[in-house]
Amino acid sequence: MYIHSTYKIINSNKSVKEYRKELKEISKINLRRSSKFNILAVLGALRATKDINLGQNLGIYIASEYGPINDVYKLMQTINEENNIVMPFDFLNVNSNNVSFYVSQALNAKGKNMLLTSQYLSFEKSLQLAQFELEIDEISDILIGAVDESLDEVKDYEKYVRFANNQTSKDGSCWLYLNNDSSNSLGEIINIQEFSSSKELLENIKSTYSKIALNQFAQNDEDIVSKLDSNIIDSKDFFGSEGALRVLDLLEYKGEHLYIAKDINNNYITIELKV
Amino acid sequence: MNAYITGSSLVCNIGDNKQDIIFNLKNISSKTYKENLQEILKDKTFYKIYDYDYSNEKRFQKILEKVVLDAVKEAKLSKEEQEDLHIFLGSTSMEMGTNEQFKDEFDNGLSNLEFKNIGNGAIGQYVERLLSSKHKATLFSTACTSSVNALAYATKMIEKKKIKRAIVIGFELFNKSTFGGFSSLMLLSQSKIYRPFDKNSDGIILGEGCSAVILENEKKEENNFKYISSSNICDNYSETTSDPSGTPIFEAMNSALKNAKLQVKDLDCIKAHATGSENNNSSEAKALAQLFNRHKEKTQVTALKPILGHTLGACGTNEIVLILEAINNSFLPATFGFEEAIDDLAFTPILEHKPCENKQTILLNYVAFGGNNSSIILSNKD
Repeated sequence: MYIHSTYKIINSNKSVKEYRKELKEISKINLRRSSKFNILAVLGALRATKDINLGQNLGIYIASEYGPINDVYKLMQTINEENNIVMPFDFLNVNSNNVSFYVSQALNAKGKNMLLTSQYLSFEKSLQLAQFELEIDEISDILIGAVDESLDEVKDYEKYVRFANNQTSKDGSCWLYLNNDSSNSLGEIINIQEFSSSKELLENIKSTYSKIALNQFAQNDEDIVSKLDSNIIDSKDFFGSEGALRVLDLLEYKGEHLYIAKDINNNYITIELKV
Repeated sequence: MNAYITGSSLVCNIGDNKQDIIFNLKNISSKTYKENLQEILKDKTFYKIYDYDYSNEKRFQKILEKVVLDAVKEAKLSKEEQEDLHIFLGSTSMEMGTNEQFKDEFDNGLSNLEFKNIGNGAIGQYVERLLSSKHKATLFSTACTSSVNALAYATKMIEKKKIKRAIVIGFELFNKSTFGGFSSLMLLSQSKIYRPFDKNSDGIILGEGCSAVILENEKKEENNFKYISSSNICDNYSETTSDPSGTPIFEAMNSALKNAKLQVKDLDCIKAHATGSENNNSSEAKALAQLFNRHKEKTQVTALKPILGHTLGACGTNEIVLILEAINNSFLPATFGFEEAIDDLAFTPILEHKPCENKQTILLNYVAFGGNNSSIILSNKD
């Protein structure tokens, strides 16, 4: 499948007001009381598709590790108080699937939309599902986004989420538009594959990739790093669903590349792409 | 290649195993329904799972473990087959109740953890460990269509030979955030009677329930149902209500039929979503009328939420397991609570459990917040 457009937002923790202001400049959609998570997603999706004639049978897939975590955190602060009343928008904002509805509404898309999670590999698994639907002609175009808020506002967040490299988790909204049309594409996703060990992975990958990007856990996998070291690109920014960012990093280079993602249980997913 | 349901399980308000559930369901009639309901809802207007009196965290784990292991047992999977299960989960509130418990303990100085987890991926990891699965779990969050969408994906992957077998789990347990949210949206019934498509319906009654479905590329029993087709479309009308015309709901059902090259006359029954909310009563009724008009045929309609409560993201697999088990026991379940039709209702739902052959073709319809509409057709006819 071929990549036709991309867009990325990667910022240190910014307020919902700032993103709302940016959104207001490009869309009339009313997200006045909506979560930062929703706004980040809609903003990224609109910018990723601004020069695209959207396909009639577009599938929208949003991958997220934490969902609308800032709103969940806010709701949790009062949920156990006696006589607490959950306000409608506070509830709607923690209903994480609303994000894909708002993206669909902003784009006036009528096809399927999904929010998907798979611990530490949310983007990779979502892209795999989207690719499958494209393969079986269930959809004709894919808009896939990886959206996560910075965890800065969640007290002691390191207690709950494993970080391999002590990275700061930023606000992120990274998007790709893909279909089977090769003309004028930015690149091609050639293959997405799962492996259950680094040994199996290393035995099955080519030795000729121009560039290799690694997610946080793969960066700390000595077997992989020692074997592939010379081609590994430096990955600076980080956010929850970082896989999308790593793929966008690789699109900066010409050639045939590999992205390797690993989770904490030694599950691996590779994405092979050609630019 | 076909995808068959070779094992399933359900834990819900009327039992924690299919035998008890069918026994209890058979004992409900339209005459006893209201009386039963008063008993069920006496403490809270909510269909609760009984006999799992643990902390929210432990309760979540125990119920999930029960449905997973029961379904695996029924499908008679070998250890190798169990480890080869691809895992698909669907839920609306995920593990919100456990996080509420952790927050409470934290605020009362009983724990130094404010949450159990950030994000929901750890639930998948819990199931991966339960099954010793080689595969990474994927969680679907599409509100009330979460588990049916998960099931549709899993079956298609089996059909296209991407995977051999899968487990699909729908889960929804009580939590204050969801109950309070529905309450603040004024969607909950005050009369405490669940009445889909009824003139006197005054809203939803939420419930908790978990179910698991094992899908395989070969049938194990003669009566195993197979996946025929499905459809998922987005209704952009509103975040919380369907397009009042009913057209997007009609399109989901009609597309599922088209994808299967079937007509309404080929269906033995439609299981409606039927939440009992004013908007759903009206829009789904219009959608069904459009479907029957388009095909110039009608079929039987039933609704299961008066039995289970609205189990949100889990209602997909919960209602599939319930209706398939009823069919295996040779009846189609009744739509309890229905007495007086809303205006222009094009059908009368099944009013008492109706004897049926245990070979059926059924369409199950689901409608979710965020306009996520899904329909799925299952059959065990040759």
